[in-house]
Amino acid sequence: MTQERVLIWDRIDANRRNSRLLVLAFAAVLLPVAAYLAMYLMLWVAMVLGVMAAGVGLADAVSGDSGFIVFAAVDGAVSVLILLAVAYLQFRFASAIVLRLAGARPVTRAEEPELWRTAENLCIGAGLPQPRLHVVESGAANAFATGLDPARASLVVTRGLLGLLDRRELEGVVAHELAQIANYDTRLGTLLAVGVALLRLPLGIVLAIFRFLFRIHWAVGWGLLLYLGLPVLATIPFGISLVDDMFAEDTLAGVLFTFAMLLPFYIFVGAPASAYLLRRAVLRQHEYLADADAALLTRYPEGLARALAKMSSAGSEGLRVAAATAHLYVVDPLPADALLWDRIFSAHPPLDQRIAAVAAMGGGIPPSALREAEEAGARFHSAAAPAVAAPAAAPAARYGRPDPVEAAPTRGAEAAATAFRLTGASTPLYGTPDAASAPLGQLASGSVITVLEESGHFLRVLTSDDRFGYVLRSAPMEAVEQPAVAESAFTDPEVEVLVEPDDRPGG
Amino acid sequence: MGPAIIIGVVIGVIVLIAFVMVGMYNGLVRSRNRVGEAWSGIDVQLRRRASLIPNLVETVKGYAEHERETFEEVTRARSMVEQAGGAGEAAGANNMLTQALRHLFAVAENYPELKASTNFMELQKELSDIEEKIAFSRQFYNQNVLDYNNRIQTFPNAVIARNFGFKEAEFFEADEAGREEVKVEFGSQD
Repeated sequence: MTQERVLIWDRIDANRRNSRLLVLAFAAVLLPVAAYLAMYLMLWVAMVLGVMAAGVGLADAVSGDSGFIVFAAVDGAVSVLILLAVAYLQFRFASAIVLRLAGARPVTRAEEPELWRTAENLCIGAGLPQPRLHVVESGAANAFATGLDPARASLVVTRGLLGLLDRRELEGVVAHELAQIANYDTRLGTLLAVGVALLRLPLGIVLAIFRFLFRIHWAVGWGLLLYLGLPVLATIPFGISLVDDMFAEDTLAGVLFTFAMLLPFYIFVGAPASAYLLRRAVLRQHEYLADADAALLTRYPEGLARALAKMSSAGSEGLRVAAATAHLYVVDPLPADALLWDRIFSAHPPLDQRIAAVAAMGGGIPPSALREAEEAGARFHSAAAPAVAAPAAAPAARYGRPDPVEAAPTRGAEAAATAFRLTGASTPLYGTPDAASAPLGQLASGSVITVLEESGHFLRVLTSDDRFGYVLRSAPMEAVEQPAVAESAFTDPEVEVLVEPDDRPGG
Repeated sequence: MGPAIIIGVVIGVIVLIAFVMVGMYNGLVRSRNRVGEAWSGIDVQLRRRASLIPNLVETVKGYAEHERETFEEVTRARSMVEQAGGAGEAAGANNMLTQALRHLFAVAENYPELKASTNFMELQKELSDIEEKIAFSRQFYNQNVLDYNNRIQTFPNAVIARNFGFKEAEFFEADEAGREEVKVEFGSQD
């Protein structure tokens, strides 16, 4: 094992430097956008002022060459102001924005004592202040960290992750996130996320409008597309000749005109592309380094390797992820069928290479352990949609039959068909089918629940201590073995049920 | 070249060296302070454990009065940790206390009523949590000590260190036996 320390000061300095460069690069990328917006703003202002000035007789002052210079100067000043405002907001609210985009809910020590203890101990080992802990109520297994520096950082895990990983694997993942916080990787990542989200906005708005129109009727969508697009295409040769003429007349005007013509393309396509490229170039290396740091911090690389193996086969389906924040997660959260545009720039190194790198640390990891972890993850993945449909059909069929048996034994037979045992370390029970609400309580591993009905992402259940509530459909659970007694006359519709009280099994 | 330029260059070089030396000195001071801060992290955990021990001893005494030797071992080790000066002594005393506590818990295995009492179980849980925290803070402390010792021993920082009285820091060693995973014995279960 290398003798590197957990907090490598030169890497932190490099990250701080990269953050500063990144902000500058973003400012450069953003400047044309701001100028474009400012220009529109100024056109409005100029029109209004022009009308007012004409009314007052000052029309000459706002036209002509001097007017143009004044216009350009004010445009420049306004765009710088816009930029500063955006930069300030970006810094101030970056963390909050990312957390909101992910749907993260802060948790107290009382709600998640194990998570708190793990984070606390690892922070002691790393010499970091404790970050705020959040949970995303989703069945998918993933985690990320956000924040501009260790004192203001937040660490987020999903409910699914808490259910999937055991203590030492969770330590590995939390250590990975803490390493990224400590190396200021999260600072970089958070600023990037907000910057990228911002730059995607124009294109996103336009795409959303078109998607809406296409949904109304395909003719409407195509109609608008052609109406807007064809003239643009048609003006290209005209524009080229115009630019040629302008260059012949006055170079500066020609340059400005070309700039103005190309600006929309830049705003909608060029800026987001440069943002993505910036992100990719910088972030890939950090993942490997964070893995190494995590292994060093926990002194147990096997934990992180197993966690990565489990998470890779468990997948992140059902996780609400904003593509701009995808690079912050431990494991790539974008589904395999996401837009190529989004996936290419997600900046995660391939998982098997990461696992191999971690597995090579320390004394090596037996491949059997990794294989077991992968299988566990695959089981978790398939358990995300438990076969509730089959048992749900049975009660319905049973209601259809005339059933002379009393309600209580019927309930018992039902329970045998639709009972599940929770296998997660702690599963929240909600009062309403809403993951953002505070849970009624936590069900321990091994508790048996009876599924009454499905309701979207939730299952309405009855717990063994007679509480009604909702449980996430993706919570890890296994079907309870149906006792032989359920395979009785009660379940067979063909058999005529003639029941004497003494003949009841188990009676 | 005139003599003025030569003098200027010499002065420039001297000023540069002075700046570099100041930088090195400050770096050593910062490193030493980090070691001190890391030590206080361990100290906090040791004190927390020390404050729990009287409660633990009383609880066990309530059920197992006759295990006098074990109690005394624990109490003695605890006072040794409190009186220890410096990291090396504290490390040795800490290892003895860990061993003594392990004896105590092993003895408690023979008293099922004691094991079932909530007070005992909570104390046990808290103590095991503190042991883990001590392990992590020891890890952090030793890393900082390594960094600091490396600095004061390598050239060119060594020159400054020796002249300004920077001394090596001690590691907080763990017991060799303490580092082994506890082996589960199946032979002696009731």
